Amino acid sequence: MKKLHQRLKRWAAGVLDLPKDVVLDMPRITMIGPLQMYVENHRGVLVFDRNELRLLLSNKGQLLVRGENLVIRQILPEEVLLEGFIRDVHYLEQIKP
Amino acid sequence: MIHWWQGYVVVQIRGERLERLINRMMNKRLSAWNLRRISVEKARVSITVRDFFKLRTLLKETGCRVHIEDKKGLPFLFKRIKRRKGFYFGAAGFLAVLYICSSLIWSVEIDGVRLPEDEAKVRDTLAKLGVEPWSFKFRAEDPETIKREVAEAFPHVTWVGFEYKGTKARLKVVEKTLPELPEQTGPRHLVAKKKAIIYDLFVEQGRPMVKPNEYVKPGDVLVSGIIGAEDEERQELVSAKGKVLGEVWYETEFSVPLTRQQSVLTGEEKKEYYVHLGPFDLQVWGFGQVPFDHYIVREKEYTFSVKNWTFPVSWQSKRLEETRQEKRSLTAEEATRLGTELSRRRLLRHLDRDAEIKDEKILKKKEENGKVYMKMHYTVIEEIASEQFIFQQGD
Repeated sequence: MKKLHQRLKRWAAGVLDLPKDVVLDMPRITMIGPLQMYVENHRGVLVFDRNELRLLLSNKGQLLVRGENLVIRQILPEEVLLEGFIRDVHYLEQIKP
Repeated sequence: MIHWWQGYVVVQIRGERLERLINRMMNKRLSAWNLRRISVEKARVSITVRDFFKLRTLLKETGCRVHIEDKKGLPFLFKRIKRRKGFYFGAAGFLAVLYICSSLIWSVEIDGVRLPEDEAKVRDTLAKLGVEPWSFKFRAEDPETIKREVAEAFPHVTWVGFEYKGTKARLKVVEKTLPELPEQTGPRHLVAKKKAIIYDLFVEQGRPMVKPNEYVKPGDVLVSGIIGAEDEERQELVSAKGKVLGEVWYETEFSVPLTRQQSVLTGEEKKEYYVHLGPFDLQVWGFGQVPFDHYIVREKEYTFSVKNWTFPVSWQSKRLEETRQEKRSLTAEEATRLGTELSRRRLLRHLDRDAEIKDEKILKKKEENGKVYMKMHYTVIEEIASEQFIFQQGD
């Protein structure tokens, strides 16, 4: 049943040309080179220190950002503006469709 | 930027569950920024003053501790200013005084007015319009009005310019130059003032009574001021005007000595320096007797003056140059040439400026007692007319 629901959502997003982050409840990530990263629609901060930021996503997925001298510029609900030198962005658990 | 106006604090948070605190802050929508992890148990964050108090309730939940590292923004700045009142009052006062002084008019400069009494009048006019020393620029009328008012007050002015140069008000005026009015003269004749032969005449107004090459005596009417027919009824009186040039003869007699004394500079000189202090003269250099029998003095005075004021101390240098008397003998020919030259010059000094010598002749020449006696005759062309007023009888 759940699977069917998911598939319907994806189909709708494709057919109706809706933004996928809204329909599928996924994070929208905007990056400016390695200097700035803007993550919308996350579910909370799991780990934050100088070299690592781990965000909880919906569907129990995790986003791991590694870099140097990371600073959270703006603390907003469900949004994070990260600055520093961002080396890699990693999805820890595959978000299942 | 807006946080700076409201004031914010930079705080250090210590605790084990920092991530949880961050999540709680996000949920509560605290406005915080620049979150940075310093070490495992420490983080630094900037937070507005209002939200800082909300943060305290969250701290209890998460078991973190906080302490303020820095206070920034306008409210804290004000607090600091309050503590050092005197200093800031002084600074503000200084700025205020500077501003007031720079918006005062310190001096009024008037340019282009020829007469001093006119300048005083312009100054009065400006003072009425609020432009005078120690008045405020913004209290004065605007430049356009000032220009117009000054131009109206002085009708003989063509153009008026007005501007502020810093604290100086500058008014520039261009005055009209009116043509000179011709002199009004009453009815008159032009009569001869010397015995002469008419050389040329040019009549502007009046009736010419003589022709060139006519002989005239003093008092003869040259140009009549009565014009019109012979009939007295239709005669009219005018002011005769014109130029009458006549040939006038002059005779001069003079003698020239054949030996002449001349002073010649020997090249020897002595210098003396003086300081003048008001009425006192003080010699400072070149003391002692003058070692020359004959000498000439060249003086130079050095004064120091600013505008109209002269420094009361001046410096004078005197150069005494020795001269020697030399006798020179002239030949008869040299003496003649010198004599004619001198006598011509003497004659011209007595005549009008536009008179010219047409001809000169030596009438007599005689050498006697070491002197040359001469008699000269000159023919001079000069203005011979003078005015004679016509007095009307009966009226």
